[in-house]
Amino acid sequence: MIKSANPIKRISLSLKVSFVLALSFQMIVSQMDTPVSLTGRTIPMPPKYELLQALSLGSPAWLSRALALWLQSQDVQPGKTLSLNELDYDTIRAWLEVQLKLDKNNHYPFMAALHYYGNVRNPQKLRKMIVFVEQNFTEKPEAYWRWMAEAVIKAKYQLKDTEFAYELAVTLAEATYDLNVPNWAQQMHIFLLEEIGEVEAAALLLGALLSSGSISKEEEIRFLQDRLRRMQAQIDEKSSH
Amino acid sequence: MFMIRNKVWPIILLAYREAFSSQLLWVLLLLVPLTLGLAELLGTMALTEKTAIKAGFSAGLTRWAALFIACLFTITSIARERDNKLNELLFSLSINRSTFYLSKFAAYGSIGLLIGSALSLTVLLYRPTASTGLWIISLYFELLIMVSFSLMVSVVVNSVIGAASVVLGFYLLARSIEALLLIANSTLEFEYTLANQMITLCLTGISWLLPKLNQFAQIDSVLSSPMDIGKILHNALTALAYVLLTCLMGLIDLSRKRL
Repeated sequence: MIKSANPIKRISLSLKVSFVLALSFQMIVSQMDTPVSLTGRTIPMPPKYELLQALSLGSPAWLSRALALWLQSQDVQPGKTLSLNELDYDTIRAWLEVQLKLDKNNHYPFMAALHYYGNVRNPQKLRKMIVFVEQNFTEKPEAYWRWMAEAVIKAKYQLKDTEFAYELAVTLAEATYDLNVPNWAQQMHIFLLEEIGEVEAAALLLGALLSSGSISKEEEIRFLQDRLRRMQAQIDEKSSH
Repeated sequence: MFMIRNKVWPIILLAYREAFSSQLLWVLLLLVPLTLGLAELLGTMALTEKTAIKAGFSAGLTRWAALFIACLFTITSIARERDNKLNELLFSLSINRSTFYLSKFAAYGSIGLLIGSALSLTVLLYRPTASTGLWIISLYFELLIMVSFSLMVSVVVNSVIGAASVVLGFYLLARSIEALLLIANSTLEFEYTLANQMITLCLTGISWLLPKLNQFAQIDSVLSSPMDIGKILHNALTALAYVLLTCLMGLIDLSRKRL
């Protein structure tokens, strides 16, 4: 039926005018409805992992990321942002768990837990996010050590719970003992121990670390030796009193 | 008037003949019991809310199946007529282009509505309520939009795969544009960078040109909260605007072509 296209001039003026009017009509109609709003909507608990895996149609990694974006959009909406404190952190944690279960290589749940939901000014809720990181870290410490190190810092400076931070740092050090992880991450517990007031124990651990020969960098050895000398001075001062 | 009617009916009847020859009736006759069977199977698995589960499943499947069959039928039918040179024959009878196009829309639109009606019977069987009736009306409007869009794309794009891909892409975009806008408006940093602004601007522009199909034939209206008349009227207005727009787009393309 169609041989070739003719110039646009062949289109009648009435057709052109009608098109412009119809386009304007469509644009007006598209703006007449109220936009989707999430105000007051509570986040439901996630479905079972098996169901989500089946729904992913063989692409759980994609679904994991899609769920991350969906979860993120549940509290931020045009013109209104729900406060993090209004969210149910048990539900949030369940969604983060399921995202991680769908794809173990997805670091988004850790990032969201610490740097997004972790910004809440509620210590109980922040603790839940840190515990989420701690409990999942041991499954793949070689990949997740960075998030655990950040959890230690969060616990120490935001939660201001040095003992909890120390426990996390010990878990981090133990799980990454024979892994290719930076020394600073494995030594965090020593300095936290010092801050708790257990200077003798910290000095003992640091001395053992230095004599084990596992640290090879000159500047690092010098720094740790200096720290050890200061600890010894503190211990001597305490014992002289 | 008589002359126009004389030209319109053959075009409409040709589309119906095509529907019979492409075994559309058999597809529907198979699909209705299949939907019922699957819904019953799900019902036996449910511990409670059996009717709601069956009605919800039937409504979900009906919506997808009706849209899929109506759009695919429109696309393949136009392609077959083009291949058979049937349209050349019609235009040799000095038929007006707008009469030709609008007759085509009337034919495929009515077939789409018949497909929707046949498949909706399963939903009515489980939930014979007024809210199901409103849901079906909303589905009709959605079907008219999609058939009209499929017709326009089939006239513009000369390949079945190309046309089907465009229609599928359009449908997915129209169903998800509000979600995409929500995501675009949600930033972690709470400050909008230039890239964010550009993306939001583009998506807002696209949303002005699309019918928001996520607001049509919502399954929860069958199950719990019936659609109010205001929503149905808005659906009707959107369908009117979009059918008008796509018909004019198809006519413009038809006008610029040498036949």
